Amino acid sequence: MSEHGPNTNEPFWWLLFSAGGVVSAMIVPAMMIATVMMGARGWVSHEAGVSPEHYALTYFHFKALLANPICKLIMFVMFALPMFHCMHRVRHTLEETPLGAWHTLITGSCYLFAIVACTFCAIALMHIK
Amino acid sequence: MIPKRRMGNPISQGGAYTLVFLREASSFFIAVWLVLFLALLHTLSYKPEHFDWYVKNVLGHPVVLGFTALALAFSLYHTITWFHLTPRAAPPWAPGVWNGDQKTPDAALIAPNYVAFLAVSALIVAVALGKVAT
Repeated sequence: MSEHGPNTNEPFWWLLFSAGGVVSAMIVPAMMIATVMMGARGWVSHEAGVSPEHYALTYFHFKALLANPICKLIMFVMFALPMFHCMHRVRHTLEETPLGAWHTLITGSCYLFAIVACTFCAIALMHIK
Repeated sequence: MIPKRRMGNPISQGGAYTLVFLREASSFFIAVWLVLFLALLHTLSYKPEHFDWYVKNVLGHPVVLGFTALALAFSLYHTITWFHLTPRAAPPWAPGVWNGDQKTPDAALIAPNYVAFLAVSALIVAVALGKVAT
């Protein structure tokens, strides 16, 4: 215990939660709409027998966009902050249920999941050239 | 977060508590969707055929489309609840929170969030669908 209270890393997780909340609120719905439109277009075209080359435009467009290091960084932030926000909320929600007895396991699992997902995201973005 | 004293089945407790529980549950849906999105990013490292396959057979699958629509509804619910926290979360020294001795009305603090949200959303959809040169 320090003179200012217990030593804890909670403020760090709450900081990520707050930042992630803003990014989730502002950006995630539009990202979902974009993927729904892409998916629906693919499904409709697939039913209509459109050739796969039709989608190459989207692929090359995305690839060109994410080849830019600044866009990579923005995309990473757009992924990582909402993920930490979600896992923080999942952690606190689970702690309100009878599963809350396993507090340490829940906390560790939620943040580990977020860290692993963000690592995969960083690797995926680095491989886009 | 959910109030500590309200334990047990959250749905059966009804009313405002159910809305709070649904807001918390929104995180689960958004997190699952983020994993689907991560896989989409991963396919960009491979050939166009892999990307096409994923968009058509996974993102375009009716079940996944339905899930994404549900996640979108939860995500919009999160957006609304988050924006409506602005009057309580904004520090009193922040520009515009106080106008002289008068506190700015809550609606005037919340509205700019929606304006920014619509502008950012339009930009993201336009970029994603190739309507804006990159």
